[in-house]
Amino acid sequence: MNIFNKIGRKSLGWGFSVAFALLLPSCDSDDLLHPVPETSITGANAFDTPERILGLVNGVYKSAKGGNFYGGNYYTYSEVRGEEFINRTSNTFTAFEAWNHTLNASSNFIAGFWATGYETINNANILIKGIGEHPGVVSETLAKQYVAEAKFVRALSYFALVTAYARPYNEDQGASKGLPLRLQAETTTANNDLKRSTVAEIYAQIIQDLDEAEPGLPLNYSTALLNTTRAHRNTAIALKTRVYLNSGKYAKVIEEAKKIVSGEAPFTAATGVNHKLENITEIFTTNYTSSESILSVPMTELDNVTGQTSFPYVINANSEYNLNPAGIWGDTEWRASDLRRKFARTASGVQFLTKYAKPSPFLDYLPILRYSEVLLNYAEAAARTGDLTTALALLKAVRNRSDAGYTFPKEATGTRQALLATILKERRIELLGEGFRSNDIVRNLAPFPAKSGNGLVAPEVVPSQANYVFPLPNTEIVTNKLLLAD
Amino acid sequence: MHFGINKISVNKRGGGRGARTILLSLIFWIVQVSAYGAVPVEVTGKVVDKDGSALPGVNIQIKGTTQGTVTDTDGNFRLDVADGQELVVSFIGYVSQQVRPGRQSTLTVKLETDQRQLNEVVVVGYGTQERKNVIGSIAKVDPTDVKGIPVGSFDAQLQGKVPGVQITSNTGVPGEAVTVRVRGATSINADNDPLYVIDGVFMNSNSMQTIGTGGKATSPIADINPNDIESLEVLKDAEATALYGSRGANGVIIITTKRGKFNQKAKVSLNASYGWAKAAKLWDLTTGPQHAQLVNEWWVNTGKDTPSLNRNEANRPFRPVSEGGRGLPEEQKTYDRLGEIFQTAPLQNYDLSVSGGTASTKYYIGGGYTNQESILKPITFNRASFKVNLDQKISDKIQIGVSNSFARTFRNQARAGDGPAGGLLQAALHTPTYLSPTNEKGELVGRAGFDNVTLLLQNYDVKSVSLRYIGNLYAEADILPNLKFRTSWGLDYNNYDENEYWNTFLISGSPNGLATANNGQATTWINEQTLSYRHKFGAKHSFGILVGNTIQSDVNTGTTATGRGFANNSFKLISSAATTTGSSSWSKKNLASFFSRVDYNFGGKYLIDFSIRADGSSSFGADRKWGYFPSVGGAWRVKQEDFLKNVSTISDLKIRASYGVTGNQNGLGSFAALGLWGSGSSYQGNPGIAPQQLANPDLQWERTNQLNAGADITFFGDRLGIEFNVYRKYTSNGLLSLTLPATTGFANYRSNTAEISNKGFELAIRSVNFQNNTFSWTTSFNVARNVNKIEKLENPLEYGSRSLILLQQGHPLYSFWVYKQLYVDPQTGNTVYEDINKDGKITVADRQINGSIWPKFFGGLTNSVTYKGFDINAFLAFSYGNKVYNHNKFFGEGGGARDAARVIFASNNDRWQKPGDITDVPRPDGVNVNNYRDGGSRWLEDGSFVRLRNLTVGYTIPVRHITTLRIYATGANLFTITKYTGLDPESSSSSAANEQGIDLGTPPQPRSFQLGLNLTF
Repeated sequence: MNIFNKIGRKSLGWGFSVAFALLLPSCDSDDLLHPVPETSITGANAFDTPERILGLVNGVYKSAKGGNFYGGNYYTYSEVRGEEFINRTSNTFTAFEAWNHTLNASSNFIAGFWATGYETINNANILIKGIGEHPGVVSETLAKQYVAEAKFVRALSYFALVTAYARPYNEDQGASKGLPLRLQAETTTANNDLKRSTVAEIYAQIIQDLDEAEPGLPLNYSTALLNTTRAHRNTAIALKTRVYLNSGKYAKVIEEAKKIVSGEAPFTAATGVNHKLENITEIFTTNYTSSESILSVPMTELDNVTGQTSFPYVINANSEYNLNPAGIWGDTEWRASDLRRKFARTASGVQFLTKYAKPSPFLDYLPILRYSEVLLNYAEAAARTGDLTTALALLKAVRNRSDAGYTFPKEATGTRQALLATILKERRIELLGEGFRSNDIVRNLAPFPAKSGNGLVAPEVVPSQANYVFPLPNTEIVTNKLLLAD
Repeated sequence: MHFGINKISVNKRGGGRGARTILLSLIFWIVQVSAYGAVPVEVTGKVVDKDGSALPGVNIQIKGTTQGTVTDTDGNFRLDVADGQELVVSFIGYVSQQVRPGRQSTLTVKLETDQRQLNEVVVVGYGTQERKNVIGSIAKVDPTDVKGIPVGSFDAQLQGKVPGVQITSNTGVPGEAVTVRVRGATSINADNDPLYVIDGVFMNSNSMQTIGTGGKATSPIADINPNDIESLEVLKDAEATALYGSRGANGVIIITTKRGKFNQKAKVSLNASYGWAKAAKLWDLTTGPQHAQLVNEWWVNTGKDTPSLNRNEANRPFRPVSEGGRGLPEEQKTYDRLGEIFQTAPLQNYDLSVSGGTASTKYYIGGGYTNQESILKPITFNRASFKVNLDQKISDKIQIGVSNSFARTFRNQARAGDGPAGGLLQAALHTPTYLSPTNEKGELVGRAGFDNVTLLLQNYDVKSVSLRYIGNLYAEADILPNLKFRTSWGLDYNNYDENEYWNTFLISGSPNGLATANNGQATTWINEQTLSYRHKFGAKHSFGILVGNTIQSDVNTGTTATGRGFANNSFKLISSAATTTGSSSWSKKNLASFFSRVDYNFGGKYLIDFSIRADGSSSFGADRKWGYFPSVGGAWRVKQEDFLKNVSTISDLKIRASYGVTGNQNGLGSFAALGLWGSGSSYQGNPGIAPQQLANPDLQWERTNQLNAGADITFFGDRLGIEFNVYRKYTSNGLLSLTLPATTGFANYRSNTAEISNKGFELAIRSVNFQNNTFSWTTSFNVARNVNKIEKLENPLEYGSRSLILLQQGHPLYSFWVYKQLYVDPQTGNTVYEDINKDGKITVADRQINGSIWPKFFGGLTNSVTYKGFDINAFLAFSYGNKVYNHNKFFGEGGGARDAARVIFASNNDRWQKPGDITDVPRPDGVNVNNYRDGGSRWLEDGSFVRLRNLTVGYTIPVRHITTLRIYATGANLFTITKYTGLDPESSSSSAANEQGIDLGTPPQPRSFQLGLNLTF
């Protein structure tokens, strides 16, 4: 108070006025109206350092690991459309609409899977473009490798999308309309509209990406973990066997498969990562990064997918789907002694798949590419092209790994037709709960069988029906003016 | 008129009317005319308010003369008065009194607070005005008569009190956020909440809750003790809100807390109340046998529809155990879970305050404690608060002061509704009644994928503590007689601590326990300077100018830690978990503003003002950071014109109009305009980067133009007052997260592309129906209508569970999007929906907009009666024409198809059973097939209601030496008249702005009864 009195009223008033005036110009300073974010960077400097570029590479994989993609829901939706599982909760948020074939253009997953797929594609496109525009930040080899990885992930994403949202290639050799083919990095809203390319054009791009990726990818990485979680040369080759199989190019399947499958059992990859069939139980429980797991989605304490988005949560922990006794689970030729039968538990008189048995937060790796799939792809292509001997050898390798004493009955392998059927059935056993069933039905132009249980019914869906494949998402239809323009 | 008389005594004892008064008057008259040239006598006196506190600065004038004086700081005055002369005692905010000095040498004049609106002091942006000079649309609310409504925050108590302010208390959980909308909603992706300014501090009103409780969030407003509030002003039109510029588009609520008075002896005030709350009703569920019967019926029906299922009477689920079934329907038991989870909840509230002042210091010190349990166990809310307001005159020109509010708000939280894990009502309401809570071994088990109710109640452990400080330091200086400078520094600091622990008995804790702790801190500081000047030219011109600036900064930080895997249930802290994870967040948002208001008043007849505010925000594009928000308003006090001056029935008439622009950026992220690449995309433990957000360098303010016209008219000496406003708000550049084609790799983009309008009117009527010394009866009524419409929105947006809400151009915000059920076919028992595109199928193309959450009109009616020491206050709130989606019933009317997975409501007993049945409940068939389709209009109900919000009866006991001793009983929500078949037509399970009006697992607002005591001495 003394101070105030000493200063006097007049000077105090002036003091305030001066303080007031001083505050005015300081307001528009950069500090005040341009605060800098501390948890993000701006696009302009994203390619400035090798660490940032590596971060972007990880970011591409991470987007493929999104909850609606390989992080979880992709498996749930691909699996439950098929006949192997029976829904128990009629919950829309855990794929009930996929199970009973009522997904529509407004369904969450229809929009979510599409968005995550394309987000991954765009992140890959941005990486490809950015590395090209910033030469010298990383070594040329590394630059080539990163571009190859981006192309691999782009191919993987397009394949997942084209097999879900477009008519099957085998129906008309890819003549029907497929997806918008985005190869350009988008960082503005300038190119919102893009028409669909044909299914064949999408497949051609996938193969081109994988062919271009193959030489750029390293033969292997320094650790088993990286060999399973990042793409290497054999990863691209393995995916090519799947893509060619899907488009009926069996000779090409064999050509690619031969690069990584030896001529005789025990089948192994001669170059790059030394893939072979490993202990079937361990690869799903303790040894996620064995040579068999060509590419898997890693899960860690710090980075995982839980809740209704998590496939292990839906299929096991929360018991939302039980194994259909009328599906492959009920197959009598799949013997109780088969180790793959151990991936199940019984509750309420029905069985639940426990391939991913770890509880929340669900740290089991989810496989994308396994060596046994490559063998079965090869076997199928061989059978279809008449090489029954190779086909049978490959089939046996897969079966006997889990059920050593089993011999296939003659009638199951004697003819090309029978062998093919047996191989397809083996896929259902071997790859159960790995996201294959829906695509295996569609690529063979087979109907989705009717299924029922727990008081719920799903009708049969034949290839001629619109809901045989996913509808295009409404969000895309209303925002991309060229999508349905032709 | 200079009369003078010899000493004639007049006894002015109160109530001395009747024959004696007439006699005295007669004597008086005789004396007056006969006496002449008398000598003035010195009269001394004191002016006090109704509590007996001295009133300084009161004007004392001898009637009919220019002679007069003003009371000193102790309320005393001294004046020479000729005998027979009358004194006019007047003071702003009080009823003027005419006093004839009598025999006593000392006169005590007690002034009553002016209940008439004309001279009421109204807080406006950065100042105060007398009601008669107000141009804008400002409602002043007296919060006292709604204090008995047991909710955590004062905003929830104001429902129906303010015309045009729609307040929806969408839950019975005390301290959870309520929806407050001033004149509708203007935005899709920015907030629609009004700005709260408490003692000059822009209050952070965004919930800091991070843990999931099923869509609801805690209210930061609940950190304020309603008892510390002196008055509330709601600024509604552009003229009133212009000085809040970018923050004003949704209205501004100014909260003034209690302060002491200079020269007042210490006044101690104690309020205490205790009471009970209870749900007025609960859901009506099927019994076990009824449930089983429905399941059987559904079984057989689906067998008929799809013969391949092989379902028939013989293999129905509820057949004798001997036949392999679950037992006949009549053998099923019924288990009550609702009774276990709802309780009669105790409520208690205590407030103690001391206020007073010396000649240069005034103070208010208050403390309060409230503890409210929810009717839904185990939810509780309690708040301990402490308030100190001090003002100090440093000299007669300079005053400084502080306002301080401290509060600790503790909540025992629980997920009331949505979400399977931990959901109280999922477990208690949505579990089928025939399922036993125990398994064969007698262990408690959850059913239908939900937790077990008993285990939930025993093990729920979710707590939050909010520590809040809101304070302001100001200095005011009268630089020149008419030039005033004010500077203030304000701080709103909130430390919000949350802990949840789920042990292994609960789904969320499976298999080895889960603990999460979160600490968030929100800090807002604000600095303001204002300079105001007022000048009168001649007798008729009055001119004022105000300039000012503010700088504001908001910083939000958060730290979260999670632990999983505990050795056993004795370990609860994250540090004892097998695996722990953590993360943190940070954001900052700054605002710099300049503002000015110029006003001119001609002869108290014509009033006009202009305001402008410029705001710079860090959230917007580099060249778009500054926004300019001007307004203009004018008023004509018609009563002051000669042609009305002598019309005695009309006491006052004022016509007002204003137009202006205000802005909105609330809820917008700090870095919304920047193209961001986030670093959170780690992959296999390695850091990852991915594009996160597209840049929009053109991102700018949302702008709302508002035109307001109104009239204030009072009749019969202010016995009847009417205020009417009509307005039109149009929002352009509406902030919208525009959906992008997902093929671009981005889901959305912040844009300014939406346009929304709100049009409406507000009418408020106040009436003093009867008033004399012992009995008074006043009524106030208000009604408002707001028509909301989305004027521009390129693509419709779906919101809410199962896309129940659609935002579409040409329709109001929050419209319900449903399949319209026409009837249930009496022959087949199947639902017939409207097939809009006539393709013979019911597809998503047949969904249509059918009503919205907006009422056609809403308001309130208050009646107050006092008779001698008794007071009665009854307050009704009403809403008409709003819709609500009864989502509980959608699940509960599943007709047996969900079997053991979901409860069945008793309303399903009215289903179609045989040809010829006329009902709107179809026969049971599959889930979401036809009859029980997601989004069917059968569950879209009329949410209109009339509710007795509050009824209070009090009695003031006259006790010597005690200013006030009042006891009262108060009841809240004593009755609700509604057609809604759920528990509470105001229920909404989400706090998200765009997901209102969906009632799922929400506890209703309780009916409550409390007894209380007010003591002042």
